[in-house]
Amino acid sequence: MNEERKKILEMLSEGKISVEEAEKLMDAVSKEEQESKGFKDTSGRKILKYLRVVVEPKQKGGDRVNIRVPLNLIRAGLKWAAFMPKEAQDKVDEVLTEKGLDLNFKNMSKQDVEELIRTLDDLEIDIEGKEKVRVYCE
Amino acid sequence: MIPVWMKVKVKEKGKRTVNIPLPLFLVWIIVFALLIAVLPLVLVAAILAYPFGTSKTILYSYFMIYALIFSLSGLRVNVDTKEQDKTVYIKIV
Repeated sequence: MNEERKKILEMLSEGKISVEEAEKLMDAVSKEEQESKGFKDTSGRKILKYLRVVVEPKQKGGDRVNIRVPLNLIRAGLKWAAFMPKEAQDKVDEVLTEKGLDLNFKNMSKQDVEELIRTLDDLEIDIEGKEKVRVYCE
Repeated sequence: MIPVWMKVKVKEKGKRTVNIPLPLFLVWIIVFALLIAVLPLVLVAAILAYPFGTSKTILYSYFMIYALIFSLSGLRVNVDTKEQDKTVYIKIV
């Protein structure tokens, strides 16, 4: 039991608040807890909503960038990429293969897109250089 | 949910903070009117492109515009430049 719940029960036992008031406070606490934990799907995995890119300077005086991209936007973009014309797709594949990325958007099914988004749950990239770059999902 | 506002905030040292809420719902009225007006042309293009196998791409691209509009909600960009002492904050809600 957390501190807030204990406090509410103590206040109730001391007669400082009524049963109805305690119930309302308990509801508010549980709602807060759920929001801080994030929503979970049926398999118990946290439902991710945003991709965050945070760039912070290592020394004072640098620029800061903080971007929050909705995963739905990425999902839509990936689905759209699967419908690229063949000529454009071939060029994209060629460049990606050159860069060492074996990604084929054309053969990407809806399940593949969902799987890709789901794996972002474990994604956390930290790049240390002149700036500290963090890429993660929340 | 469809985004209804885009809030742009520019903060600069020694200057007045600019805070502009842009009513996206007004933009969407024009955009959706245009999209509906373009729909017959898209359908014709899709029929004409059927022998070349690109009709699916045309139709899908058209409907993806709606998907992109609806998924814009929650986008936030915050850039803080120390050299110019300027902060630009864009939020779509």
